[in-house]
Amino acid sequence: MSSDSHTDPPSAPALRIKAIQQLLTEKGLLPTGAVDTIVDAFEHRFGPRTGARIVARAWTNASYRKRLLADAPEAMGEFGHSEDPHIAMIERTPTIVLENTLKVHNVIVCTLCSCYPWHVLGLPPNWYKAAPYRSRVVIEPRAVLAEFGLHVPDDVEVRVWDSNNELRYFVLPLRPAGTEGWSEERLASIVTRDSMIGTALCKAA
Amino acid sequence: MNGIHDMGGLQNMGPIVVEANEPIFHADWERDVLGVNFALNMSGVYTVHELRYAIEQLPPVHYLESPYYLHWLDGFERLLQEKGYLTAQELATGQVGSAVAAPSHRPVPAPPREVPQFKAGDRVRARNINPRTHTRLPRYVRGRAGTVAAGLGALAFADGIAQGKSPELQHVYSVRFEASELWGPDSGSRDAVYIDLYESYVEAA
Repeated sequence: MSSDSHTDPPSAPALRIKAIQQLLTEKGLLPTGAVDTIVDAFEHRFGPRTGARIVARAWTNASYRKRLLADAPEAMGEFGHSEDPHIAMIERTPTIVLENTLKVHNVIVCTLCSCYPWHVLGLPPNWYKAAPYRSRVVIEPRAVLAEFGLHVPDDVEVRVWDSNNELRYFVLPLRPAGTEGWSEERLASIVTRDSMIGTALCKAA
Repeated sequence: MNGIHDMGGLQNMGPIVVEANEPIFHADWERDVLGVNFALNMSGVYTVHELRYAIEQLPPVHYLESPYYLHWLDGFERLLQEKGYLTAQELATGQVGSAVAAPSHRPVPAPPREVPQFKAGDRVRARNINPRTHTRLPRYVRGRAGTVAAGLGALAFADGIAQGKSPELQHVYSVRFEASELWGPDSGSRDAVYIDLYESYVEAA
């Protein structure tokens, strides 16, 4: 690097991962292109837009909703799979859809690490993986939801799903009033990531 | 292991910090860490259970203070050395020392030994066990009684795989614990936590 360069020196983790990547590649343990394929899927394929389309279809199509609740991976697969077998495997992650109703509000967490339905929501936000959310949502879910601006009425049961095994959970939020007659596409545009985690409701505006 | 990662129910972890317009990655090295981890996982160099156990053995203060993807990097750097894929010398010099065999294909899990012992509606109690190794049974449910909400089929026992044992399928149940059972009479009376428990984690209540 020249003395007048304004480029920051690489951070310690950046140097460590580069060294590991190079060693593993030379040892034949990291197939060429594997890292790029995976990163590309997480940056461009997996994300909450997929989940939003699933929710919008479940809101407008009763038989799809039924299929989604009975066999989520199968119903989620109706939107197609990647041609890459490894990415397609992630897309087939065993998943259970939790239906919010007027009496039950569901919210997901992973208290032990960071399990999350990547295939339909993408990578989780930092707060989902950090200590405050993981520690508190199981013991004081209503206080945590209130911090997100979601005040659950006393007569609604809050169910917290600690995804600690291979199953991934996904919240099917309530369709808001005022969206009658909307197209699937327009409905998908109001389905937020947080509504599918369970820390928000969908709003018509 | 009763480590800091097992944080369900801890208090005083602070407010939930939501980053507006959070990027998928906060630095390029995070992208590389994610890609390398998935590639190694998919090619069978290690399992996610082994990685989680490696992360659980990080010093607790470091675990709480460091960014999320550093846990992964710390975890697989340790694991790759433990499993003989890389040496400390290679990591220090960046030069390949010795060749290493590519991982063999993972064994097919042994089937569960018996038919499921419990069914939906059965009362069960999470066992009070404190293994020093990896477990997916968080402390906050140990010794508590709950109700089986559903049988989830047989899944590979993570605790054994994390120790390098051959995979073994166990029946898994979605178990509902009332908030009052977990947290006492001051908690929300109608709320509940659902968690997935291997058969070896529970006994009849």
